Amino acid sequence: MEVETAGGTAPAAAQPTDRAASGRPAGQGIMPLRFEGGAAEYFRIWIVNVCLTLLTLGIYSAWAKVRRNRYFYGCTRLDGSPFHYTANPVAILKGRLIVVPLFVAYVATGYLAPGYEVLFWVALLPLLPWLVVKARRFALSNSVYRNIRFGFDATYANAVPTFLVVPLLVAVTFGLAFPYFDYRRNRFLVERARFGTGRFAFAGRPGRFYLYYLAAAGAYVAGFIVMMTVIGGFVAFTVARPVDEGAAPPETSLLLMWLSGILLAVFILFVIALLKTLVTNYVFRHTTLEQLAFESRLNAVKLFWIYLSNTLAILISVGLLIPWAAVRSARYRIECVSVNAPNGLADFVAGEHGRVGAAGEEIADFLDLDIGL
Amino acid sequence: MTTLPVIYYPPGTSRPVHGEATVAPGVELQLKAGDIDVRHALADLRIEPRVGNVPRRITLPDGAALEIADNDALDVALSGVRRGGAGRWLHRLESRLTTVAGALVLTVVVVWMLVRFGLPAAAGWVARAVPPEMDARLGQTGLELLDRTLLSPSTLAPDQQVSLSRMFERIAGDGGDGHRFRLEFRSGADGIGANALALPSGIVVLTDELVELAANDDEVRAVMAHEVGHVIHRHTLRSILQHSSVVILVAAVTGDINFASSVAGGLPTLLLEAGYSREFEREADAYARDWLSRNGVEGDPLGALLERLSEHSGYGDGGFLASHPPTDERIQALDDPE
Repeated sequence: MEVETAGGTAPAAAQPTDRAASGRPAGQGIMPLRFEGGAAEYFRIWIVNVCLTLLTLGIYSAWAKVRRNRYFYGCTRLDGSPFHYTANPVAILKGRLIVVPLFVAYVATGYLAPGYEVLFWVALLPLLPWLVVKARRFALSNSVYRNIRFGFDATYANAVPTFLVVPLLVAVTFGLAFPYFDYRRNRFLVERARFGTGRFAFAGRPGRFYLYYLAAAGAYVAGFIVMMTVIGGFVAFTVARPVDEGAAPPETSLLLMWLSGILLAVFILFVIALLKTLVTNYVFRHTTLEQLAFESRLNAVKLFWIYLSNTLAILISVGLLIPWAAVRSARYRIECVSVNAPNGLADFVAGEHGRVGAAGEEIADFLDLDIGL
Repeated sequence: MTTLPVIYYPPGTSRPVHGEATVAPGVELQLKAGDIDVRHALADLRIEPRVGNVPRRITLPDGAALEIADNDALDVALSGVRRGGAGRWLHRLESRLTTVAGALVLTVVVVWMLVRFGLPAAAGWVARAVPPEMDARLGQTGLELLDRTLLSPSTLAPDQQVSLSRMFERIAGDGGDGHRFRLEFRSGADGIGANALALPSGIVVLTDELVELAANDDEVRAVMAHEVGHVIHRHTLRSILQHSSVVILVAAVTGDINFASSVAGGLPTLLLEAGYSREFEREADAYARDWLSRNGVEGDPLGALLERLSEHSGYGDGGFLASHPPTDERIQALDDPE
């Protein structure tokens, strides 16, 4: 195929400016990530996953996870090339077989010896660094881009300061150290990651994290005050007046209570989106991989709108729009990222890697540990 | 013979080389890329099964890899190969409209059956396997917690308490399982008002306000029998079991455990639990009705009390999120046995 350019015609493969359109890997400079998945295509994969998971009493869920991740990785393109997810479903199944009895034991303890389920959390705390390392290593060593595998090099001891000492500091300072923990967490997850033999580096500063958390807290307080004033005024106007006339409509006050509860939840969603936007953009901008630099241009309002409309769509569709919501939010988050590769992406060399069990990742998933980038 | 465009990555590098692969079905793959021209037996290659239309990765024995974007052509080329059969079968399920629609219908039916019959039956089965003595631990801690938060000491006269306790012993004695029943008097002035509570160990709490609201002893007996019904049917244990399995079910359906704890996942969980809770109330009502008729109580004291409670506090209007069924419906059920 020949392509018209300012300098005449040239084979597409040799045209760096045309790489995004042709999908041919040849790029240098700033390259955005693309997401080429579609809701209709993913719906089919999703519904078959759900159906087989139910029919096999959950056994298939491990295969379902691999198929889902292979779809999302494969639809993510950088310089025309897809990412690949290569996890073995049997490893994930083993991880889940460890998690489910633990969950059952946890629930049983809560019933038979109430109060003692705290012991699970106490026992889990020293395991946290191990879980994070295992989970991260499983996820990254099963991610491949252009025949080069990602990796995560950290031991339990490496993770102890970040995931045991600093969390204790957070507890002692009643949460004041949390932005510092978030900084340390991101630094650890970036610095220990590698792509082949190439190492990621992080140049962020803790001060910025404090600034962002302060901004989110400020937005929350300001919004809360405004909302309470408006609702208070509304209540004074509509509810208090009939009381003077001797008829209090309880339905109205109940409705108002519901309404303000929903409004508050929506507002909290906005604050979460704001914080996520600020932190994610900052972390990407301060991450490098050898000569590669990263950029993320998430917008808090757009992210908030995606969160909100996804939630509504899922509720209204009784779950049937889950695939649509998943594709939509993946597309937005992925396409906000771009990579600056002054010398292209061809010079990476594969590193060593060993097989990793999935138990850590499955437990971490279950505890809702947010350790993804 | 099929020839496909491929991107070839030499062992251990990220340097893409454009080339083409020629597949002899069932036998071998010939790769031409740059100055490479090699043949590999298909049995030596690791070929990813197809997912949607994402490019597939083929790993060569020497650590090199191929990326092939033309999935349909690759499927044709590999059509004679037995290996990877499961993956191909899955893709076929996902790509046909009829099987996708079938999966959707089957999922809806299975979820409905699980929620309606499967989970309650399984929870009931487990609850029967747990001996009632196991419930004993829950009572005292639960009561202490309630005393600190919702309840205050009763102001009923001691002789009234004695006669109510005697009444309760008769009802509880008829339960006849391993629970140690005990009646406790409290005031609900701090918030819960006219109410009665059952703790799984067999402790039943009656508020002064409820005793005052009751028009006669039969109405008090009806409430006591209702609470004893909760204990005997092991409703606390069953609701814990059902709650945990609903969380797992939502996680299984969405394929994401974190989703079950999010807003969109939480509301269905809440609705299902409210539904189960109403089911338990109906069961306890049925137990009370049964006890009353067996003991020759005339009329409908539970219905009468519920009606007064409803007028008194606006309690029992029903709705999606209500933990109890609407009062009219409960009275109706009490009026027409079975």
